[in-house]
Amino acid sequence: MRFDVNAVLQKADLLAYVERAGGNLKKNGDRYSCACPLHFGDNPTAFSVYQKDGRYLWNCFTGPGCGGGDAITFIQKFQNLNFKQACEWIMGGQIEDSETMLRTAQERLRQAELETIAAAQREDARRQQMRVEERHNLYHANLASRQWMRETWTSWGIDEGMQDFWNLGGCDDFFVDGEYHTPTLTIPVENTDGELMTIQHRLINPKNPKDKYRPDRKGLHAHPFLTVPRMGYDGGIIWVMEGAKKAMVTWTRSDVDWQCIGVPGQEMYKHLIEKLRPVASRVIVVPDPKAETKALLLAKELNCRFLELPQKIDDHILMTEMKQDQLYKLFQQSRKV
Amino acid sequence: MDIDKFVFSPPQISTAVTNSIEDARTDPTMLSLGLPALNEFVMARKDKVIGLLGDTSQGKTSLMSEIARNMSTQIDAEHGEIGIYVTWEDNMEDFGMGDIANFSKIPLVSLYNGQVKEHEFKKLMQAATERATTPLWIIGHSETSGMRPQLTMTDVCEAVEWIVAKQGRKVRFMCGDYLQRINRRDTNERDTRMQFSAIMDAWKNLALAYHPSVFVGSQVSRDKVEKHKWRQPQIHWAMETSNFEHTCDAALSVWMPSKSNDAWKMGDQLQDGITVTKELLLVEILKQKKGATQILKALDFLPEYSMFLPYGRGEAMRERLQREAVNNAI
Repeated sequence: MRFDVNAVLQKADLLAYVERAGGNLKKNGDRYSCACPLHFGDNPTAFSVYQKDGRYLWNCFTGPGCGGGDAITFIQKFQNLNFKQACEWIMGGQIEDSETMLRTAQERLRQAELETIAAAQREDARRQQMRVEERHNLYHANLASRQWMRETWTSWGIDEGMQDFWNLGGCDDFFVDGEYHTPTLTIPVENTDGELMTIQHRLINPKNPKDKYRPDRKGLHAHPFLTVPRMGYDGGIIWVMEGAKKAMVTWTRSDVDWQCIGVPGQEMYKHLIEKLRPVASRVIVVPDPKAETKALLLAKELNCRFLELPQKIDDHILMTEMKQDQLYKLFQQSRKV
Repeated sequence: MDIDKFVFSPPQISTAVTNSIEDARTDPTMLSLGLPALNEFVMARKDKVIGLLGDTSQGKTSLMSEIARNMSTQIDAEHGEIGIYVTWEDNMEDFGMGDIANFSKIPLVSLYNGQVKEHEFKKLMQAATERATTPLWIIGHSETSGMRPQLTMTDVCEAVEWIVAKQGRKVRFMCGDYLQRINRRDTNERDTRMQFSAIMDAWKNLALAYHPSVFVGSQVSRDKVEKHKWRQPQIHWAMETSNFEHTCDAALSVWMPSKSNDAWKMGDQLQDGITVTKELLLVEILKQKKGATQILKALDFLPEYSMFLPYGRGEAMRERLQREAVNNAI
């Protein structure tokens, strides 16, 4: 069989492959989205299929190294095949034109590298734009005139002083996925240099109660929330939990040299392994009840402490009016896994 | 063989004894049982084994868990010290429920039947935090695991080693609940008595290896108990099952006369002004190296709150807790 990459792509049916891989695609404007079938994610909009120049392309926004590409790249990742094997898988036969194949593969690799650079530049540009606009400051300014925003943050265990400390804010009218409007409360997320990486919107009236967060604009990647960004992935005790709100509530009862890290979704736990390995003896991972699996993998990888609680840590802290010494004792009594 | 490990010269003896006395004067390794009636008579010392004898449902487990809770408050958790409760009887959830009832003062039966009221939920969660911060670990089984591991003493030793080596803890005390339920298949003995002897030896070896104070519960045979009107277990009642008497450095026994209702009625006078009540629990010091024995002490025990009080205060405390519960509900 002579090799022609266009013929392969013409024959390929990316939408069918995604569904075969377990993706439950939902049409959303001119795009399709679903939870990523490559890394078995649970964010229902993390995986996107869209058309460009008459060809279907895909992208995973949250996965560890899933990346994006065309139907061939998808089959490579899905079936764990090399480029040649993926083309043969699609064509249903052996391809012997190795010279053209090699040239095409090299060309695609170059294009992928360029695309990666371009994507990083786009992401950087989006962040830059966000900084310029200082949208988080606008959101924060809303707290002065919208009492409900202040009160909601306070009822969640974060008093006015801490709301100002983290530059928390709110938005009266946030448009979710072009589908519906809801008020939100906002959390700016900084990196360890204090640069704004994203703004998380906590949806107040989500359509699906389990659907809680959205970035300020599409394409902004999820980043861990650090209660003291400049302290980095370090601290006297480093508490790791799911969600910025829990991290903030925990930090309000912490010693000043403790760091609390709110992970945006369970998929992000594994991205912390290398960052936390040097300080593993001081790390404690606190999963949500009945969602321990991925947190446990992180704790096992680090051989660090693991703390199970009867309810989510922020709820538990608030309900029991927990003090710093009790948090410290919880750290002491938790087991290493 | 290293002869000088077990031959001691008079100066060595003299120095070692003086050091030992000096240590005991300011010994932070001695733990109080936390029971007012007994503190002046018995202290838990490192390397020593204390036996606790009792018939079924006489408060043996409750007393041992009360002692464990009390001792947990005295140890240096900050530096990794912990206590360990090894349970073959109750699962981890049932055992912890006793602690939660004790901390929250919500009756055990309400917790057990899931009848916690809305206004009690905060108290329950506060008690859960208190339990989570109490340095008392459990070796045993969970109701969620769907099986009992039926641990042998070899398993227990491995678990303790894991706690010490992997978790970096120092074990200050251990409780074993109770002797007759321990899996004996690793003892390599055919005779039941010899099997129990091997198990008691294993407890002693644990005490010597890791230096905790060890409490071991043991049941006495009902036949023996029911032969007597005065049913406070005596140390020789345990003889048939093991070398319990010889291995234990101290031994206590428990008895609730109100449960011997074929022999005793409420209001009967026992001795020294002690009357049979629903709450009365008698503890006798049966053996104590270099200490007083045959001392009988009365306590009040409220099983529904897993709570021990000085004799005569139980009923009033029960009424107070019930009143508070009603007031809180209103």
